[in-house]
Amino acid sequence: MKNINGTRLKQGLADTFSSLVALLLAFVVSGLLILLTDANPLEVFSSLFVGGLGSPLALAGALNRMAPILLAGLAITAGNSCGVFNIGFDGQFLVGFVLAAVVGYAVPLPSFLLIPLVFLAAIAGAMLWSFFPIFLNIRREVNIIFSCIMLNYVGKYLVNYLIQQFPGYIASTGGSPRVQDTAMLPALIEKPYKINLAVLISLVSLALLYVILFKTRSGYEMRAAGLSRSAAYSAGIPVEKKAMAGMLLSGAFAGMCGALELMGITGRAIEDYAPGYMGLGIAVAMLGREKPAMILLSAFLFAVMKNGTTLMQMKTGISAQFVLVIQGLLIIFVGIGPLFRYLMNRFHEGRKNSHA
Amino acid sequence: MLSFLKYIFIATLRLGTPIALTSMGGCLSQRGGINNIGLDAQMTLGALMGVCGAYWFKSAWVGVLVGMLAGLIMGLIHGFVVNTCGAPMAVSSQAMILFSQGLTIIVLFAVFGNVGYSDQVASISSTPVLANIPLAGDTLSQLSPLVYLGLVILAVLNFLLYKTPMGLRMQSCGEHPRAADTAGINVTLYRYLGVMTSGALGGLGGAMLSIGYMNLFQDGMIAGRGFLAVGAISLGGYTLKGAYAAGLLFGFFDALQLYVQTTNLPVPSQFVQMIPYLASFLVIIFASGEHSGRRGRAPAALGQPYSKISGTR
Repeated sequence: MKNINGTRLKQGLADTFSSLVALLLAFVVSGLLILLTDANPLEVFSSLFVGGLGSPLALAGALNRMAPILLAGLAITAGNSCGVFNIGFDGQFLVGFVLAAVVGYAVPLPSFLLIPLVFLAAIAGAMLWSFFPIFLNIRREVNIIFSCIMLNYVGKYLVNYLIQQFPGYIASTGGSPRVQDTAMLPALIEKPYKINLAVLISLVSLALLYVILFKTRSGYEMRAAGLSRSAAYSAGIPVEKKAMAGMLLSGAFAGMCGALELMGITGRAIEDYAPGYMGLGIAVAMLGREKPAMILLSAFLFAVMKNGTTLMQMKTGISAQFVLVIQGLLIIFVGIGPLFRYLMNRFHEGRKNSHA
Repeated sequence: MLSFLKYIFIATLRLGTPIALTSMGGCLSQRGGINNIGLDAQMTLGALMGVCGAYWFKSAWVGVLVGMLAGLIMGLIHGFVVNTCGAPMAVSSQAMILFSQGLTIIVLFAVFGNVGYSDQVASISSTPVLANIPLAGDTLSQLSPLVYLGLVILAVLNFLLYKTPMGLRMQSCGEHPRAADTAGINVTLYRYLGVMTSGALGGLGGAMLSIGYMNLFQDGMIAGRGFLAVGAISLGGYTLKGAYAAGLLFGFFDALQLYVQTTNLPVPSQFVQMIPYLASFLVIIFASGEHSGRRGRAPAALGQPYSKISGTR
């Protein structure tokens, strides 16, 4: 057995512990909020998880829903790892989504060529959309959050415009016609319950990101730049190049997420499409803290919650959007994580002073 | 032409004042050293709780106060998470944005029983008192009293920040907190004061949109205006007046967009809707870079949490 580094293990346990505490607090507070609306919190949570995970069919559904959430989490993680907060995910996702639809609709190719081409188109578009903010930040010191948000809105309206230009645009549903059947992802497992190939692709992406970040020199430098910009700079790491790489990587995952959404779920581009993957991605990244197992687990958790909302709504009348509240609370509590450390420090110092 | 100018003038002040107020608050918070990027969330909750307050107490003015209180609490949370706990600012801001999105849904559901929009409530979208002023009375009375209140707040805060010892102390907390601490200034207090004022002003800005401009709350009605306010701070050279003016400029783009929609120009509507975002983006791109220092600099210790024990980190 390998010699386990004690402090590293301790740090890992503390991280996992604080994620769990955040999770618990989020459920307690959202339970209190449910009480305010005159419903029974236990019933709400149990129907949420029974609907999300209670049967083999539900499990298959949760796995299928996990793929785009996992990719969104990877996109945010890739940005965070080198200190860039990619709040432009929504715009990048939409650009990837619509380009995937264009290629999937217009290019007559057999499936094994068309699907990679759709991926490439979506990834290229999304990377372009993530390139502007980071480029402007490096060259002209434009606030990256500001430019990301502006590009999200520009992207949203541009995508709406492009969808209306599709030949055979369907105004009643506000969407493009369906893409060719050859552009739809084949199933990984057809029977007894359908599981998308997207699940496998998202898992491979997770492994890929792990290898890039933790097993290559470039990934090491990216993480160093994320931990301390000035320290990395003095060590000779080209900090700006690393930020650029992180943002582009993040954009690539966002584009992949858009392509999977099109080829695996919707099959056509839809106007004003807002599945809310950015929020989920941020939650996954914050709970996961660059640990592959934790990222996977939290993506699965959110997929289960998303999968179970229909049953929850049917049984208790609580809006399906309520899951957003739990997410929001979860993120607040994860964000407060350093508070625990701060209070511990205060506690220790107080003890030291009383002994002196 | 005259009617065009009048339309743009009124719409600019209506749509620009919320951004300007929020941006001014954000600037004040930055002067104290805390970077409040959660302005969008504070506007959202201000707009939402403003409508709830107006609904509960049957008075739009009480609604405004409730909205400001909601923003203030969000500001307090942001200050706590960022300055006292030392969490990364962008993370706290994003958490607040998600939280406000989630809370919007649940509050609308709990109070009004709807998803996505509220009932219509009392609003204060005009100032009838001013109608008797000759010549301009007609135009001025069409503006919400909150527009005038915004200008008053600007004057007061501008005086407080630049002309009183209190304001100078606050600025020192953003420039060099260790020095300020050594001089006996309570850095934490001033920073919290800044970020809470910013939250309250963000709440006021949001409430202005929901009950000073319209008379209900709709999901997504803030539409990124809080982020425009963040951009307006740097465009305004990190001064209160500058931030206010830049906020009004962004409001002007918004007004222009509304005007173009009423004309029948042969431009796809999506490109018209893009105007406020694209124009603001381009303005910011051209205004930043090497020469941006001429307008003013960001506080030196902006975004560095400070505590007596460990100093800036």
